[in-house]
Amino acid sequence: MKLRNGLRVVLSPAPGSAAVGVSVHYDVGMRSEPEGRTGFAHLFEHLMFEGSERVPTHEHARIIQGAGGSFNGSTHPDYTEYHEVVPPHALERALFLEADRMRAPLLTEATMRNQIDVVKEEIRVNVLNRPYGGFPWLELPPVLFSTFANTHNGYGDFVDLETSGVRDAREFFERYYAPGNAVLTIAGDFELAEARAMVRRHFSGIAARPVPKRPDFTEPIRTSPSFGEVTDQHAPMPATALGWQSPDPVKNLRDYLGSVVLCDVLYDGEASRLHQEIVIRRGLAMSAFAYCGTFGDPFDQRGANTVTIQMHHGDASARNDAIAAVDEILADLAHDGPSNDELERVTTRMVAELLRELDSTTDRALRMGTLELLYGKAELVNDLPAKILAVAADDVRAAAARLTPRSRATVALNPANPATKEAS
Amino acid sequence: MAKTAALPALAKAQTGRHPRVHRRTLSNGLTIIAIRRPSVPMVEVRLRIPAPIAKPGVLARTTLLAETMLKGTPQRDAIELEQATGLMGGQLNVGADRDKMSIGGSTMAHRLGEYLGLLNEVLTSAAFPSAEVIDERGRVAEHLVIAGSSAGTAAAKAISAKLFGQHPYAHVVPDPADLKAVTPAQVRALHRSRVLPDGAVLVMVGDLQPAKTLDLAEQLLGEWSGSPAQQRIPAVQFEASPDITVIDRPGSVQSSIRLGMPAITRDDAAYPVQQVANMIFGGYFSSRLVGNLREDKGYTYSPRSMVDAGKRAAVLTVSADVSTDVTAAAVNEVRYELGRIANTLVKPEELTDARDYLTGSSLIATSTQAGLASTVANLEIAGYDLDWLTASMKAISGVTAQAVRELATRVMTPSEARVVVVGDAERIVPELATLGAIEEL
Repeated sequence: MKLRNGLRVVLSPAPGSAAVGVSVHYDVGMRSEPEGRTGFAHLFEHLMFEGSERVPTHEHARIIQGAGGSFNGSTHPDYTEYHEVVPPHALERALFLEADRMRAPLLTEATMRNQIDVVKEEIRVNVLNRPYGGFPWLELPPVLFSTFANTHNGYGDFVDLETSGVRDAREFFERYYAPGNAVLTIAGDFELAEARAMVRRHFSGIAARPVPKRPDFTEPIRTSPSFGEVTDQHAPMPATALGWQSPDPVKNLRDYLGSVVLCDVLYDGEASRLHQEIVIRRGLAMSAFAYCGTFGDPFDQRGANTVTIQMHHGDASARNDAIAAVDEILADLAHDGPSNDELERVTTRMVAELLRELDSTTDRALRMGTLELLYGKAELVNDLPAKILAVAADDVRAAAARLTPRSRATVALNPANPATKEAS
Repeated sequence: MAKTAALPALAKAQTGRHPRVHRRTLSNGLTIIAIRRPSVPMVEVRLRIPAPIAKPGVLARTTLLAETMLKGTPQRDAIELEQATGLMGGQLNVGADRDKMSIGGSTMAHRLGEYLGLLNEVLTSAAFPSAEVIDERGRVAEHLVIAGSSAGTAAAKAISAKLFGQHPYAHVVPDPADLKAVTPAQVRALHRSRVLPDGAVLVMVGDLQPAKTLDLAEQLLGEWSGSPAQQRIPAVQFEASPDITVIDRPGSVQSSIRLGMPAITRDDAAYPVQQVANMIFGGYFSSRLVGNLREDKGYTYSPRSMVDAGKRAAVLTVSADVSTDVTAAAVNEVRYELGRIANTLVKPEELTDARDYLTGSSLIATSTQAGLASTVANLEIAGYDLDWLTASMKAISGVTAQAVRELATRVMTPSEARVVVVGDAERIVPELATLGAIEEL
C-alpha cells in the first residue's frame, strides 16, 4: 500500500497473536549525517520522542505504556526506526502518535539541551566507561573504509553534539523525514480493512515533501591491508578485530548470502571452525566470533557492509598466531569449502532462528520494515529461508576466498592496564 | 500534564485468552507441562531444576557445571552434541542463578523427540571429561576477570554484599580464584547430586499436540531418576549499614549508583502492590526516576528500579549510571523520590498507568512461544502457576494509592536503602560526604 504523499505501508496480519506491532523506518541513518554533526541522526531519534504538535512532551511514553504497550527506537547506519507493540485495542493510538511526529515534532531548545545530556550519558555507559565499549563497531570502520560517511563516530563526538541546535534539527527533519522517505509497518493482531482506514485517516493528511536522493556509500574493495591500534582504559585483556567488505547485501544478495553462511560456519557455537581451532585446540583466544553487518545483523544495511572476525585473547602474545590461524582456516575453506555436515547444521539453524524471530510481533514488524526499506521487498522475510537453504558449498568457498589478508583491516585493542596472569 | 486532546479512543479490549496448560507429574518426580501455541513450527523447551546455593563455595561449582554440561557424554562428544542440535534447528543452553539451573532452548517442532532424547542423554550421562573441563575452567575464569572490570558488575557485587553480609546470596558472580580451584571431580559430584528430576519442571510450548507431547516426554525422560537432598538455604538477615559505600574506580567518567533494600516475596499478599509501587517509582520509562533523573535533569540514560524475588528473600534495587560530576546530586534525588513515595500519595494517573502497563505487558510477554515458555517455567519452579499470574493481574488492577503508600513505608524508604557508589573516589567522596558518612572500600 502506498499513500499519495509517498508513504509506503506494509501490513502483515496474524489473527490471534494478542499483540500488534507498529514500526516506522526513515531512510536516514548515521551515514547521512553531515561533517561536524557526528551522532546527529541518533540525537534526532531521541528528540522524536519528546513531543509533537498534538502530543505534549513526555506524553508519548505514557500513552503507549498506559495502554499496556512497549516502545523504543534505534539508529542504524542506513535507517532510523521507531516502534511500539501494543494490545490490539490500542492500535489507533500508536498510529496517531507515529503520524503526529512524522508530521510535526516539537523540536524545542529545552528538549534538545536535555537530550544532548542524556545521549552523552548513553555514550558514557555504553562506550567510554565500559571495557571494550564501542569495539569494534566504532573502531573498525575508520580503518576499513575511507569516506567520512563510513568512518565517522556514529554515536557522536561530544563537541559536535554540544554545538548542535534546534535549527540543525529542523533542517534534518525537513530533509529526511518526508513521508515519501519512510515505511510504515503494522504486524500482528489487527483487521486489514480497519487498519487501512486508520492509516489513511492519520497519515494521508501529512503533506508530501521532496525525498532526498539517496547517496551511494559503497567504496572499492581494499587492495592493501590497513592497521589500527586502540588503547582501552578499562579492558584487562587484549582483543583483535579483523574486517573485510562483504558483497553488497542488496545489489548482490546471492553472493552476500555466501558470506552470511560463511560467518556461521566460522562461528555458530561449540562445533564451529573458529571456536574449535583457535579457542579449543590452540588456546589462542578465549572467544572468537564472526558476523556480517556493523552490529551483527546481516540484513540491516546496504553496501559498504562488513564481515568481522573478533577475538579476545588472554595475552597479547597470542595475537599474531591467532591471526595466522584465521588465515589458515579461511584458506582451507577457500580451497575445500565447508563439509555437508557443517553446511546443513548452519543453514538449518539460521532458518530456525528466522522462524523464531517471526513469532515475536515486534521483531516481525521491524524485520519486514527493514526489508521493505532496504530491499523494496518486505515479502523477502518469507523468501529468505529458502534462499539460505539454497546456499551451496561453492558459495561459501567463494565467500572465504574473498577474505584475503590483502583486503582486510586489522584493529588491535590493548589494555592500558593489563591484568597479569597472577592477578586473575 | 496536559491531556492530549486529539487522542483516539481505545477500542474494546480483548479478554485475555488463557492458554490451556497440560500437566503431568512423572514417577521420577519431574513435572512436565505442554502448551499448544502453533504460531511458528517451533517448540520452546525450558527445564528448571532447583539448585539452591546454600554455601558460598557452591556458586563457583554451579557456574562451572553449567559451562561444561555440554562437553560430552559417553555416546557423543561436544562437537557431536552441537552438530546434532544444529541439525534440529535447535539451541541448547545451560545456566544457573542462586536458586535454580536452567537448561533448554528451542527446536524445530518436528524434531522435538530427538531434542528431548539429546536432553535426556546430557541429563543422565554428562561426562565432564577432565581435560575439557579444566580447559574451559581457564576460559571462564578469564571471562570473569573481564566482567570484573565493568562498573556494572562491580556495583552489582557490592550492593549484594552490602545487603546480604555473610549469607550465600551475597555472591552474585564467583571469584575467578574460587572458580579456578573447582575440580572436574567436584563438578561431576555436583551433577550427580543436583541434576535430578524430583522437584524439577520441564515446560514445552509451541507447535505440538499436548497429550502426545506429554507421552513423548514421559517416554524419553523416564530413565532420568533421583531425588536431591533437601538443601536448607539459611534465613536471610539483612545487614543494616547507613554509610554510603564508595568503591574507587579511578578515572571513571560515570558513577554507578546502586540502592538496595529488602522487598517482599511472591507469597506476601501485598506483592501486587509492590509491583505497582515499583513500576511508578522506577520500573518503566513513565516512572518517577526516569522523569526526574533523565527527562528533567539529564543526569543519566537509563535509571531503573527492579525487584529480584529469590526463593528466600526479595530485594528491590535502584540503579543509575550518572555523570561523575552529578553523583551526589543524583543520590540525593533518588532518596528524595523514595521519601516522596513513602510519605505522599501517588497521583491517580500514575496509578492507572502503572496498573494498565503491568497487566497489558504481561499479556504481550506471554503472547510468544518463548515468552510463554519462560514465564510458565519460572512460575512453576517457584511454586506458582498461570492461575496465580491471572489472580495477580486481577489484584494489580485493584491496587489503590493508599496501599502503595503503605507498602512504600515498609519497603521503599530512604532509611531502608543501602547505598553503594562505584566511581572516581577522589572526585565524588567530598560531595557524597554531605549526604552521610562514607565507607571507602
